[in-house]
Amino acid sequence: MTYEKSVTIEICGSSGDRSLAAGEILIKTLSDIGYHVISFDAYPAEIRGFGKTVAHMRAGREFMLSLSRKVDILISLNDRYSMEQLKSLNDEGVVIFDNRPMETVEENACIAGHLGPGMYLYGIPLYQLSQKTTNESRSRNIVVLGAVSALFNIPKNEFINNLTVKLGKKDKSVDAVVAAFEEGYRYVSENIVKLDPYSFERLSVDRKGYKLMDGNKAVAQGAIDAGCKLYAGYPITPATKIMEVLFTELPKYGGVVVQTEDEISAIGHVTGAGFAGVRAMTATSGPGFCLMTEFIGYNVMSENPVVIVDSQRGGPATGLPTKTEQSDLNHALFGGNGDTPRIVIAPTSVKECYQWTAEAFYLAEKYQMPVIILIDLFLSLSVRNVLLDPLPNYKKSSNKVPAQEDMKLYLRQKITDDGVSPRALPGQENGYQVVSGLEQNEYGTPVYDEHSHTMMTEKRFRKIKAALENDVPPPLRSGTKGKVKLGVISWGSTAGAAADALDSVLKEGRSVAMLKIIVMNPLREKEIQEFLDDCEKVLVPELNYEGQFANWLSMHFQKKFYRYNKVATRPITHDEIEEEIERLLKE
Amino acid sequence: MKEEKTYLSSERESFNHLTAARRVERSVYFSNNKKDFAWMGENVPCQTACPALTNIPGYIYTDYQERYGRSYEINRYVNILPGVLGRICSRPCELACRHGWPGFGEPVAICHLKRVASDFKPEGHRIEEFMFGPSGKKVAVVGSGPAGLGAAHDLAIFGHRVTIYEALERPGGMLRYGIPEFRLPRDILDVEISNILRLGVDLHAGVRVGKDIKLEELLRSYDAVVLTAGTYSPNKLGIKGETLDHVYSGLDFMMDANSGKDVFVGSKVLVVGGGYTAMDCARTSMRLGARRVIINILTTEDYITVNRDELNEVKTENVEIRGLVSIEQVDRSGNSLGVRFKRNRLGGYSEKGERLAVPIKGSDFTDDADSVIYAVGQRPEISFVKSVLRLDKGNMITYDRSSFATDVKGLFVAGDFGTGASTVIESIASGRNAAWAIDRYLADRTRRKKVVRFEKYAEKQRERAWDFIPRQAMPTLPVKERVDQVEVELGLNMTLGKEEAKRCYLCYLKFEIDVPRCIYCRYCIDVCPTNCIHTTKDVITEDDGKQRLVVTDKWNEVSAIVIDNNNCIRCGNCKKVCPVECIDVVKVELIEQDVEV
Amino acid sequence: MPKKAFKYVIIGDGHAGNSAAKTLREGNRDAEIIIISSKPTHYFDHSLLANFLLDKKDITSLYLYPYTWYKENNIRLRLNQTVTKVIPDKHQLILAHNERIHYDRLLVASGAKPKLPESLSRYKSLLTVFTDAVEALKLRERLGKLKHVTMVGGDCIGLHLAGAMLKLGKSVTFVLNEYNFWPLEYDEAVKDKLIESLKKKHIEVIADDITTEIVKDGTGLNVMTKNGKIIKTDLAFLTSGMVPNIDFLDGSGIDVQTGILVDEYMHTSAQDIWAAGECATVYYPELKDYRQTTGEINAKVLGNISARNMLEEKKVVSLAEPGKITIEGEDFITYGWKGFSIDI
Repeated sequence: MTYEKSVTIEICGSSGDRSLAAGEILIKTLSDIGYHVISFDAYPAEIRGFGKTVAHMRAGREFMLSLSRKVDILISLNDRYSMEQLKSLNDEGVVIFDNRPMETVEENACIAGHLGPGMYLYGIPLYQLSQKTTNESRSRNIVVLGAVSALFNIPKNEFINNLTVKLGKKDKSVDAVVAAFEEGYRYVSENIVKLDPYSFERLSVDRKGYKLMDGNKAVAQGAIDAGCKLYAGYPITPATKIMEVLFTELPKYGGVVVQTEDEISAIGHVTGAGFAGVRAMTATSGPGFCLMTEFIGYNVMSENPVVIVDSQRGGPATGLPTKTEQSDLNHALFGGNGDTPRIVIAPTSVKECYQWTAEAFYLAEKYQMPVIILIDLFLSLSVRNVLLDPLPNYKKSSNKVPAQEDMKLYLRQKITDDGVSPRALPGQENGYQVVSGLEQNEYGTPVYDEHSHTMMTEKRFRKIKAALENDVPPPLRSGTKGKVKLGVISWGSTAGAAADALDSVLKEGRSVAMLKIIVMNPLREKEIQEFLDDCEKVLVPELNYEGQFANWLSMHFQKKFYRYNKVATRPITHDEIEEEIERLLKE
Repeated sequence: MKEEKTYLSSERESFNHLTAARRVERSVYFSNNKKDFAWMGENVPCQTACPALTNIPGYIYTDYQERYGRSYEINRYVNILPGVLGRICSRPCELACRHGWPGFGEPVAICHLKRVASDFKPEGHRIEEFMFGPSGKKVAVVGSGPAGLGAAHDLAIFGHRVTIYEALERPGGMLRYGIPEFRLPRDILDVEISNILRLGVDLHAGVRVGKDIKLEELLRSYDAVVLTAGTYSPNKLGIKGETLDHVYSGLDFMMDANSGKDVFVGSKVLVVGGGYTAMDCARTSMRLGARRVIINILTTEDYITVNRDELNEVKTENVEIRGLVSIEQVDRSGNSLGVRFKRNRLGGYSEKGERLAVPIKGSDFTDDADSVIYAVGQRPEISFVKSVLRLDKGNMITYDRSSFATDVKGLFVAGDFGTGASTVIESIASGRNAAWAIDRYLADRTRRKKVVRFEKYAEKQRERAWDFIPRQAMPTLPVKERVDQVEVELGLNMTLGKEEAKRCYLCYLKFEIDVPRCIYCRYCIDVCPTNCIHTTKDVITEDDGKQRLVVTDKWNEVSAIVIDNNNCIRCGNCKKVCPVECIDVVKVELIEQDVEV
Repeated sequence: MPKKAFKYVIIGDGHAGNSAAKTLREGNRDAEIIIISSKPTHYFDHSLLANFLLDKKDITSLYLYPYTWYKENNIRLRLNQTVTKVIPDKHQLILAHNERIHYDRLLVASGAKPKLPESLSRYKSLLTVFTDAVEALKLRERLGKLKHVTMVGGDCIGLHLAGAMLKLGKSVTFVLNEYNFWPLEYDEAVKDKLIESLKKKHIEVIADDITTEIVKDGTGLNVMTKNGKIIKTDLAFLTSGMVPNIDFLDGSGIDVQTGILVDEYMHTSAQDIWAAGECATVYYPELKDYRQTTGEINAKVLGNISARNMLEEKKVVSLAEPGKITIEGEDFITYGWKGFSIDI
């Protein structure tokens, strides 16, 4: 059964029911007792007001990178909203609901009437127990955690630990909240006989050093560890949390965070810092990224390092602020006027968010160009437990400094083999230079002749080539070795789902392989070509309408790419890709 | 000593926190407005249901404060015999209790809390009586049951010279001779009766009016006579074998058993009837050595007058109940009795609203027994008044139900003697009401009246969590120890009593939104657990003083946000969240007051 | 007859309820059918319950229909949901979780629950009941710690259970009262035979006595009787017969005498409400008496008859073929427990 691999839990309520807070504690606890976890909460698009919020999490014994389509355990703190979630509950799933709510409701307004015949329903008087212990109804989320702990054998102490840590000194009524938890636990132990098969006993694995974090936090951590000293940005869902984390953390490392008046100003700040030799970053989402486009070109032209994080959300325009999508790839690759080589990186997991953010700083500084990190709302907000590898020291500084003898006549745009000109930082003796968005000669003086433009354009593209040769690792191939029936090429968070799907179909004995591409530009064409040659068919699943990545690949390779596109407002799940793989294999 | 300390530390100290000014602010207002009486009637359902109009929230709250003496007095002012009623009252209040309304759980154990007050009142507790000066008038009370005691008490307070004539050896009437001692210990009864006699009431026990002294003679020697002679004539079954040996009427059986006579029951007893007397007979039979007792009822357990708690006690003592049977006849067969029954089916309803049973043809069956006790009601023994008074078709005395006066000047009737068998609390209320009527007759004016008293309540006294405390069960003796006349119910102890007292919603608190101060934020509506706060267009006062809300959800029609106190459980959530403190709490009580000339 | 797309609600997921649901579905393809049960488990075979203790099978092994059956027949199951109130005037039910359910026609088939004599009600928490799958599951977990069990009162469920307990190597004591061994009312002769039969199986029998008190004694219990016997035991089972499980009808105005009183069409005193199975009390002219029938066969028959009447077929109830209880080779007639033998 599926639950042997992983279990998906949802806590669904209305905003104000504090279902997300409960989800946070639950996922932390599951992680603490040895499970791999991955969470992805959904909340209303409105900034204030009422709406559905769902804490969604998957926990499993094995490593995984994506969500499941079906939910196994649905915890309802608001029946009206939870009823909508029932359609994704598996046929033998569990529903926990408040069986002693305050008000009498009309028929079918309660989740209890909508369950399939094979589902398990557990009623817990959440409202009453919450009132009893804390004198208010808002602790229903804590009572239900107590119940979940007893019902699914999740060790109680870990829970209480995490509960108190989370409430911390903020709340004087910690004792009452713990009492609410204990009350839920007691109620289930005394009154409910468990019939469902789900259970989470403690696993005997060492989770020392593992941390729970979402993609945003990983990006922020990566930036800090890479020596970022300036962050400038303007809040936007889903990237805001990067700034929030850095606000408290960056000053501890001597850095500065500036909230600017808009995204243009933000990238302006970062550009300036880059010029001054300080590692700097901005993060935004689609609409903000559009505003920054002009500066992408500027930084290409003036050969200035900047790191831009674009956490993609549903578009175009303001679009779907709280829904995930992978539809900014075209913009990241091509956005801007002129021939604008830039490095585009798309991490596929939270751990890679950390690694590749750090790498982005290294690349931007080394190759003096903009580096764009493309993540998406799902990666930004989904929490997982990760073990971060420490960053090698050499990556922390990569500025190519001019030799002393060159400083007599400093050539800012000196033609070199790899296209990278040594860069004098402000304050260096004789390091005067002209910096502008105009085409230039080796001195940096604005010129518009054919020779200079050709030479300089070639030089800028040579940097990309150099980066490809020196610093871009070959894409990782997994699955069946040699010739295969089907290959999957995927990117971004969807690659996680593809990897999980591959695990499953490989267990079924299918001949499939997968190529995970993280650096979207420049592409490791040789390795990709080899992979394509091995595959009878190639599937490219992604979360956009046209197949932007498949298009990008088509520009480079002669191969028919089978596209699997969705604009589902939610991540593609591993089961969906599994089904698509099976379908293609049968075709 | 320890308990006294908690009393002092918890309650007195909290009073001391009030500044002198705050204490002065405790202003009180009295009202005669029919709107306020109507509010009381609708909003304090327990008090309204009580025939004696006992201030139930008042005494339960003082129980909670551990001011048991005060609690006892609040009771005694209106129902005279709290210790007795705390055990055997029929509890119409509990049926009405808001806590027992759908969705709110079980009613508060109002009766048991009355007993708590009685059990734990301080030793040498002081009785407060407010005596009028002597009037020089003489009143005779015939019968010393609950109605007679109620009448005698109030007449004495009004300053009249009262003499009670009791036919039996000792006072108390049915309290002493009808109710078994294991339900009502006699020392409790004696003390509470003597509290009445101490007001200067003369008791002539063992004097049967009609036989030892003529009613006409009483009418001559007294300014007024009130007949409270109860119901001492058992109803008959009218079947063959009714007069056989070991076939008893419930009343005779109980009177004999209660006066300590040796009554034969044998090993198997069949009781016929579904009232309290039938239950008492069955339980008494068990104590007299019966091994198997079956109570036979015409209809089903749902349609008998006995409440669930009592029925449960009966079954606890291993008494069986057989429903849907009619007794047909009793025959003697050898040493035992053969009792023929028919099976019944349920029929329609009688005019009085009683469920009818219809025997099924050919469904006869016979059961054997050593004795049969039929307890199918009782009626007044009226032979001694026939010469003086008019009787109606049902052989009951004709009299005015509001003035209690008969056709004969100075002769009044109260209690079961007038109405037929009722309950103890109804009889006490009837006796007291008759006393007031007699006083009006003697003094030619009204000297006491009921008014509504308002007092501002500074703090919310309850916690929401208390609403979830379950009803505290009455501790009882294990079945094994239920022998002789040992009292079965042990009474709630102080802890249980306090828990139970917490459950009371204190419905006499009126939560009101002060409209000029209200900013219509509707936070109160959000936190209200019962949907009792409404956006309201208008409040209409009906002719009887009841108020009705015209609720609207159209925002442009709203003129006020109003708390519908009838659905309110006094949880105080609204008061807690109100940002402008516009919700006032007032304590509303029905009290008795003197009428100044 | 054209059949309206009625909404049929059935309270109870046992033999009567399921047989009625099946009949209703056969009779009316379009009707909405809902079964409400306070139990979390599915419809299962009670007679397998005692044997369930003997092996480590999954609870679903007891189930009579796979859950897909309900899907196929478009019967909505509301498990683990308790009806707390019936309001016949409004054609409404109230569930414990404060949901109002409407019905066009209602069948009450809520079955029976173990009878707790009022005199033992204060010891309720010390008594173990064994009637449903959840209780069986709980008991199975505790089995290892038990050496001796006591049956408080005599009934056929207790016998079943005693059989299983003996097979598991536990010793068993029965405390029998004087007047019946549910569902038999017996005379001295039957009683003696019964006692003899039990004793032969090395069951200790305490006859003509009543349990009056149960007290905790360490991890075990002391069961005390009226005649002064004290039985040291690990677990005391409540096996004093069954009573209809109809507390939720309080205040509904539906006539009740132990069970729900129904007429010959299984119709209750309230409009559009029928009752079937162990919760119903039927007057059988053949017996000149009221009877609550017990057992699977009766429940199925009554469920079927009720359903037919709910479909307006006017089917009169009749006494099912009497069954027999065999004690020491001698047969006793009983209405229910068909073919049941005390000679375990």
